Amino acid sequence: MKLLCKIIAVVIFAYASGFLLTVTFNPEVQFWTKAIQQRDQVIQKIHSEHPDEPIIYFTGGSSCAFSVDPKIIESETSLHSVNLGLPVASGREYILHQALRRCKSGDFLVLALEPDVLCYTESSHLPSRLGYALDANNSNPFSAILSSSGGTLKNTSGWLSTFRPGSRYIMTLTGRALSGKGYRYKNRDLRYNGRIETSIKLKQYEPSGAKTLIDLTTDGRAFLEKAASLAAKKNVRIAYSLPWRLTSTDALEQTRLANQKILFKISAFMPVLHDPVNGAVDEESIYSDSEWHLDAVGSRMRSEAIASGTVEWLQAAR
Amino acid sequence: MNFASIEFWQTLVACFLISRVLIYFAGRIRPQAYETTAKLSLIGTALTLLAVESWLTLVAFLWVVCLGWFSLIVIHQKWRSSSKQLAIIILLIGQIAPLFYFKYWDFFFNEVLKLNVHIPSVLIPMGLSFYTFQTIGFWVDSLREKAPRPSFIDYLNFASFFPQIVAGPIERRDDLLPQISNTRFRFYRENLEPALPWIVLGLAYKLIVADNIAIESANFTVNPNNPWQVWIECLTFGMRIYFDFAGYSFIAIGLGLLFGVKLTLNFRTPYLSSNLREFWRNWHITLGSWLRDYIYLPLGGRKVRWWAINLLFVFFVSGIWHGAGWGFLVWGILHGLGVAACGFIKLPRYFRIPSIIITFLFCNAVWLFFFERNTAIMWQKATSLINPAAYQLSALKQCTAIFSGAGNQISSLLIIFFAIAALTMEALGLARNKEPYHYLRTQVSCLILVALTVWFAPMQEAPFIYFNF
Repeated sequence: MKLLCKIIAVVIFAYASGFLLTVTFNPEVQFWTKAIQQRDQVIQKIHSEHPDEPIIYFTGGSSCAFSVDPKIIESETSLHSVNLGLPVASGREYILHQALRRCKSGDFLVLALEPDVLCYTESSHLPSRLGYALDANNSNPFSAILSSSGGTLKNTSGWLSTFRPGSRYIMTLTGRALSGKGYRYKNRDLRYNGRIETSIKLKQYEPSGAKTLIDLTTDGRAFLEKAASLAAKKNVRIAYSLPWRLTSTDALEQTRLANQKILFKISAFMPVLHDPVNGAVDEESIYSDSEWHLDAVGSRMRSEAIASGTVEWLQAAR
Repeated sequence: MNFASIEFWQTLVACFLISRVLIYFAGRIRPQAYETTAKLSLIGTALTLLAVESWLTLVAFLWVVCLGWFSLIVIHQKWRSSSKQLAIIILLIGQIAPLFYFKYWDFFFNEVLKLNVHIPSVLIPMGLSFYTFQTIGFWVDSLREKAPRPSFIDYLNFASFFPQIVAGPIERRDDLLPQISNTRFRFYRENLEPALPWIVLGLAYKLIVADNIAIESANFTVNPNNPWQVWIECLTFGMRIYFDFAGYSFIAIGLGLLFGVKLTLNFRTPYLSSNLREFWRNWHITLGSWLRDYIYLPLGGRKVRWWAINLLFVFFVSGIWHGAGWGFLVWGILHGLGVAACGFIKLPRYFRIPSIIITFLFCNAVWLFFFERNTAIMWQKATSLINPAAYQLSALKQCTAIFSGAGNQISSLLIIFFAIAALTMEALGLARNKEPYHYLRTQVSCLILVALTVWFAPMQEAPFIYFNF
């Protein structure tokens, strides 16, 4: 029995240290925790100074975090705006959940999710590891599970795997720690009201090729329906905006046409913000460290483009 | 019955607890029913674990095992010899029929005979090859030794003992039956200390090495004309299959010990063998001894002039047993040729280290025929391996192109490091004449392996590779 007790003690120690490695000492979690804390401070300030004024929130994957400039939205709409974009690896349910948690009655929420999570794969309903880690780091570990928009509880093996680091993660963490690189994004990349901006540029981009007609998955439709329903329950107006993806020039028109058809299908669940480029752009120079992340110039372009769409939506909503 | 899955342990614990309650009350109400209840509970647990896999797994198992039982009945009948022989042949065909249907139908009728007779595509019932051999061995031993027929409950427990039913070891009547007959399906606390290190070692082998290699090697891009890349592919598969299968066997041993049953060790550091004959005495030991006792020796063994042909036939059967495909046949025959060559070539003792290296490289190279299912690419890779002109410096410089990126390369190297560390510990134990895997089963090693398993096991579960056979 002594050996069994020792084994159990080692298992507990290993899981606890795994939790610390994947959450507390995870540079990615540390950065996005800082971003979330900064955003929450902004929201708190707005609520205390302007308690009766609605806020326009933008949420989605990292394409949202890098592309929507709340300053431009504010100047066009005369309403406060906060960017709540997170890495898409947080899971679409978590991305929605953490935004709705911050909304109060009368607020506006723009869902700027990458269409891949609605159209290509059947996504898991489970809150992702990153989502759990972000909540855990913000002293709210069960928020993602207990919230009705957070997804369903994991099974036992899911729980046992959630905070285990795995070989890839340990090697990456060790390599980056030894080389002094740390996480790709730094605190200096945090911008006004939640936007992220990096000066990193890729040497070579891989623009998206021509898209054939795609459709929302059954899962994707259910998610959009749930998003609309949960927003309505909180008296939050919700709309969708397609992120801008770097697309090859010869595939531009076909992709815009395919995207337009998807936007039409999404419009059955919620309003869609007008976008003159329908989510496809062939200009490499406005992108930063990926084909989804806009640089400062690109962010301004996109924000100006959707600002007018946002104004139209706000007028229709009122 | 994936020992590395949480669901297996949950089901096992649930079945065990329910069984203990039933056994307790049976003992209180009717003391003479205690033993029977215990044995029935063990059968119930095994059948439940099989049914959880799939109904087909359970039905196929019951079919094979019941026909084995009828064979035992026939053996003990006072019939005419010719009638008995005919009945046994019919029952043997019936026992092998599911194996032929699920595993060999497509290969035999469509690839060999080119008859284009297809059957619905269904997964092979788990463990079919293993328990078919085990039950055939049981009644053949009963016939040879003129041993009395056991009770049906004991026979069923022999056939269905859950730690070893789906991937071995393939146990013999004389080894397992006496232990099973005495089992009361209880937890042997005194066996915890020897059992736990086996279970931990098995899980570590499977989760740290085998599963991670499986994930990383799935991202490999191999140029069939680059022998260095083909070697990397073969060596990683060789590591994967050893750590996967040995890992399963170790967990089976540990589980057996927890319930008071000593199972046969199926691996004894096979990659440190100095020739192929020694390799097959240390790799999948129970299959090798089964083939030796039920095919090789009845054909005359080494006592006949055509012993080499007997040997080739045995390894032909071994190849076929592993899988229905030309690659498996080639793999078996190559091993047969290698083992036969050992009968003619005797190397001096000082050649031991080079012999170990050559045997290791040979065994890993011929895994190519095991895992490569595309015949054209298989021969392309085989050709590049044996073609000296292909071993160019330029090809060596390209060997890292097999990896999909820096992450894949570094993770693969880390896992290979673990594999080498484990093999080094095995070698150390061997060099010091210790028990098999001695240094990997000490308390300190056990605790280190537990921590490493928690940290390095991949997120996704993967089935044991030998479940495919």
